Amino acid sequence: MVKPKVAFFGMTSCKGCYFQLLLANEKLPAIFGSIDIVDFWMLNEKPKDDDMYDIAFIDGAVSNHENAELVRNVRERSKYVIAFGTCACHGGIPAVRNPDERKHSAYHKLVYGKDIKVKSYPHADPVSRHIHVDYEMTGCPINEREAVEVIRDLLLGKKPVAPDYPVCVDCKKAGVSCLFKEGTLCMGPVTRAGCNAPCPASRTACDGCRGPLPDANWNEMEKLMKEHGIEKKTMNMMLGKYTGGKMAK
Amino acid sequence: MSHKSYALSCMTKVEGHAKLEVEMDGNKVKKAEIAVFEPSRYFEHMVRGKPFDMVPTISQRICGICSVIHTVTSIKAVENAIGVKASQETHDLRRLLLHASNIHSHTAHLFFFAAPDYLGVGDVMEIARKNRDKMELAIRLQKISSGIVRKIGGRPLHPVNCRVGYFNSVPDKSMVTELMSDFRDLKKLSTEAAELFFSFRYPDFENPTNYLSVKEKNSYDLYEGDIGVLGEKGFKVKDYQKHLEEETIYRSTAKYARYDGKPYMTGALARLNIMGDRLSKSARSIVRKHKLKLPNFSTFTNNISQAVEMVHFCDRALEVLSKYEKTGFREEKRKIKPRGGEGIAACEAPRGTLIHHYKFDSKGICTYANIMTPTCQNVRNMESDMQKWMPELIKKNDEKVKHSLEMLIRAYDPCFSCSTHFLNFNLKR
Repeated sequence: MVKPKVAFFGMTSCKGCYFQLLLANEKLPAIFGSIDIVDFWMLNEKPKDDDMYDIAFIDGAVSNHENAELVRNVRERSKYVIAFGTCACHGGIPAVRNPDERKHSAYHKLVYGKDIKVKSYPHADPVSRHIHVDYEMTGCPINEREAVEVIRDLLLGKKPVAPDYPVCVDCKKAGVSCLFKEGTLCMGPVTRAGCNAPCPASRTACDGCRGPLPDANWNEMEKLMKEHGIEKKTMNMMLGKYTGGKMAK
Repeated sequence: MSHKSYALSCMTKVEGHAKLEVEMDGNKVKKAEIAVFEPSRYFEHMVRGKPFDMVPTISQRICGICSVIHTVTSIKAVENAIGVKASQETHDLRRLLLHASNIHSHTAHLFFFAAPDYLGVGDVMEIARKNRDKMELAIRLQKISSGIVRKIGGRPLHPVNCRVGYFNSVPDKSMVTELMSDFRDLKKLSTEAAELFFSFRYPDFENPTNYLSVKEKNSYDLYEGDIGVLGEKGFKVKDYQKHLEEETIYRSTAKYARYDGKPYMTGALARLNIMGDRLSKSARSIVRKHKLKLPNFSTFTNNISQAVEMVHFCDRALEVLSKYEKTGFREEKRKIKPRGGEGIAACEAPRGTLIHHYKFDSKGICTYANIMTPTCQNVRNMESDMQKWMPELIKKNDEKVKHSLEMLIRAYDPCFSCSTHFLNFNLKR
């Protein structure tokens, strides 16, 4: 059997999703054995520029010209492109600065001083803003089980399907009692599931790191937030924390 | 002799993106530079305008592998700024998180990035095929250490349970017993790992420099204390800006730091040099058995130092946990009321000293942030190491020069994604 050629690329991110993938632990030898990892700058030394890939993982947000060029190049050379992690799917934490787009040169000066030229875009973009993406694996960080399942599905020739239900379902499945009952505001109802709800399980409110559920009831969420005394400004910050400040509707 | 320049166009087996440039004129080093080309990430801007409890959840995303330490350091700085005193139990839980996450990070660096160099294989995938027993050791270490972070912090990466002022949920008595058994297992595996990393042959290269780390009052820990400097008095964390000068570099998105104008090294070797006399009994006996000279001035000893630390941290964690063996940790829910102010905190990340510094207004909204990561502090010393080693390395062929320099930089366990504000290789002979 010819092993599928797989490549991993990193844009603007904390690279945590790769470390989370390495937490697949016992499954790692099987993964390394069933695919041919031809390019993974973090783990090996011989990237080949002219390779064609069966599966390409792109982690991180697109936040400068080099990032944008690379994702376009990867798209041209890959059959199946996976946006890997919330940064790649929604902009994620790098996009926290997006609402300040117009103040880019001002805050650049504040961080780097006036002598360093601005090379980055005024906003960090999801990969899908630049190229067609075949699968969006969300999560800050991703869930390693989902990653293993998606790789397995692709090896079997199946089309992987992303969860389209809210974190609340994961909570119920895990037997975690609802934080709203304790008076804690939780973003679970409008957030895409697939994480098995580790945060509510440790009595911490979901803060929406897996990005918005496609058909979430945003009006109801806002009402709930208001009831919990959240001011409009903070509300927007919370709702847009992983999506570049825009409320995804 | 001809003029030659080397370019290592994308340093691999490190976290993030960086580039090396070396220019030689015969035996003389004309230039030895490192450029970080990780895109600008602007964290110091992004946390401004955010409520105090949101700040650590943003700054923890600076780094995927040291997210625990960023979380803890950030929380401590916020607490110092807004006037919150955490309980002894909360401090102890954070210490445990740091011990486990340092072991997790050391394992990832030692086995996935460094070991291939010394086992003579290309990458960890080859280790998985050819050295199955070593791969299994790495996996077990990773699994248990990340499992501890999950049990205490809620998640193995970007922990959620650790908040400003308290923990949302705490380990009960049975969990304490479970954690103790985890750390005992980790200690056995860490001892195996230490033996393995002592068995490798490292390049013969020394470059004495300034060594800095957070120095605890009495113990060898990572959580609090003044800044210790080997052979000197050291200084208070609040005076860090007086001694550690950050400069922005035209070629880089990282800011490079110097200590009183000089390059310095921070990380496991620095800690071992500064606090080595406080190692636990088991860790000390490993150091003695292999006749490791301390203080040590070889950058490559940083690898061994990490392995020694892993054993030590297991002992330290067991010491902390034994206090709670009979009772478990007490649950505490607090309502945090912020006041305005300025706060600085320093902790030891796996790869060195990490400093977070914030200011908040009276409503608890962040108005200023400065974050100094270990890698940006080590870059100057990497360059100084290259300066010193190149005249000897230049006798070898280009491929060997490149590989030796990569091993050197990798020994620092650099994390170029967090230092953005960094590898490509250029050699001119």
